[in-house]
Amino acid sequence: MTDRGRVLGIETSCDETAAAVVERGRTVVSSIVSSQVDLHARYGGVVPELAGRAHIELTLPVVTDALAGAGLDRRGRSFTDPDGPIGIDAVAATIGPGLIGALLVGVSTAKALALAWDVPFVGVNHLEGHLYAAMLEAPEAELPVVVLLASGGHTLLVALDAPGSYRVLGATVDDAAGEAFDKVARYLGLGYPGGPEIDRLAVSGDAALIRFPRASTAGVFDFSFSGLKTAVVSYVRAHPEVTNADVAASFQEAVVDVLVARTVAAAEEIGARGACLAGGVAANSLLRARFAESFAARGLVSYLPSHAMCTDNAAMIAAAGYFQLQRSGPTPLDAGAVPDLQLRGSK
Amino acid sequence: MRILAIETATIEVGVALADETGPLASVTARPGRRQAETLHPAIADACRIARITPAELDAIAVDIGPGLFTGLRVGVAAAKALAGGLGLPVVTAMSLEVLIAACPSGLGEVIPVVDMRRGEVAWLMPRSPASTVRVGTPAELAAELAELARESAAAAGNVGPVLLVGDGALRHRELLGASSAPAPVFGGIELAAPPVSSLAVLAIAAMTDGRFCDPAAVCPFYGREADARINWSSRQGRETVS
Ligand SMILES: [Zn+2]
Repeated sequence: MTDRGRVLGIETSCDETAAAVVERGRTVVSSIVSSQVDLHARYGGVVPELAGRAHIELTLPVVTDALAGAGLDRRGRSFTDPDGPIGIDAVAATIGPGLIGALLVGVSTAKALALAWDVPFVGVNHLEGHLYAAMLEAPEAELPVVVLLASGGHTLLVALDAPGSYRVLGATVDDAAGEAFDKVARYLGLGYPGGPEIDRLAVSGDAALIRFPRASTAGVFDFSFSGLKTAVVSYVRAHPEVTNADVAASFQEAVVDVLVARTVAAAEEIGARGACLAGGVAANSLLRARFAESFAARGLVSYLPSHAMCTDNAAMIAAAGYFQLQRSGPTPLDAGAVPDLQLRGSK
Repeated sequence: MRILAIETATIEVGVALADETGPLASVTARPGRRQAETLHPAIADACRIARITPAELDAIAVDIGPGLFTGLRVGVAAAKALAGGLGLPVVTAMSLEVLIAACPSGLGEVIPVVDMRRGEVAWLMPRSPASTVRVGTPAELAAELAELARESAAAAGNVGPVLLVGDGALRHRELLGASSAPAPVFGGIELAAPPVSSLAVLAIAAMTDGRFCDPAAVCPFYGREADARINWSSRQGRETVS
């Protein structure tokens, strides 16, 4: 690897096709995301076969765009020096968790590019990628930090001790936070994806009207949201006159309450210097406000990623790939995709 | 001219290198569902055997199907990335064409049949262009075979049996074998999957004729719509709140 440590990252685990070039795990040189959300919206969720088909069409053009953003042609060589050396030091791709037919496109593309350019391939855990998303926008952040990763598929509390070194503190025992948003939105007849719809509607609702349950879990830093979803359904059945806005506001209040309280407790437990939000739910406006407020009150820094860094992107995959390459070396070419890959903490 | 050919449309993963003199090296495996794990090491191995580095290639060839979707995507994604990353053109061929090319001439009418799972096969009737791929149930194929035998007999009197090759033919051997008179003859297991060396040889000819394209334009031939609605309704059923 050259001193520049330039990693091309590729992300195709769900419904975004993304590629990015990142230097030394910290500096985003280029980042391209092509979303398929419109393709899947009419089905109310991501359709695996459609996602796989879209990824195969989009991956190469998206990679080409990301390379161009780094001043490289699609052969990985500088536009100003087309016969010069390859300008990429490693190719990283998400190997899981995600949809198998979607993941395989990125993995196969990345391994083939690594073969073409004779550079290392790195297979990255998508969730680990999310841990670095906020840091990419705050390179000055001091570690350790606690990261709350909340998305449609996952809800995790992670201690990030050093680049490449992390521990999982807690996770959801049933639904992910984003899944709870989607299910409640669907129940209320709102659109897909449900998170933004509830966020928007909650502004005009009364968050204190309904006191939905905050589930306790056996693990102090674990989460549970399926009871909350059931409580929303039974409340609406029992009170047909209630407005969607009030339900949305009260439901959102309950979710944010639990997410922030657990993150604060985790930060205190590990002596964190700050806290990061990550994942699609990090775009929720109430969560952002409450998160910033709560940590500021305790004299801790909070890192709130931009919308582009909350949602799936490849810059975070390239960053995770860089740190993984430093710590554990390349991934063998006989690695496949792992749809149910867990986040277990680094060795 | 050196071509690297990638074959993942059916049950086999194959990589071959060829030039104008013929095949230089080939690596094949039956990896079950593990195409993504098997293909890239096979590419590296084939290059090592032929003592060619990827940077010394002139084109990439790939079987775009019909076949099994997962394998197709693994192979097509790899071909696009190799060609894109090396600045090379891509030659595409259909699995059914490769199977025909793999049959020695003089065997009579060849009908390639590829298994598409879920009770469907894809086939190509004799002397038909690749664009007329048929996708249907084995019973529909059997009916077409019977019709073909009747037509041929009426036109030429005494005709020989057709040769059925491909994994779809082998899988439905019983049904298809009884479809027509004279009964079809079946290719062996070596013609179950499209042989990758045949793909490589086809691709050399295509390159010579200028039949190649940009990697960005390459896409699998699925032969079946994505069954979005089926997936969606079963998901909804599972998620119903009780
Ligand atoms: Zn994600």
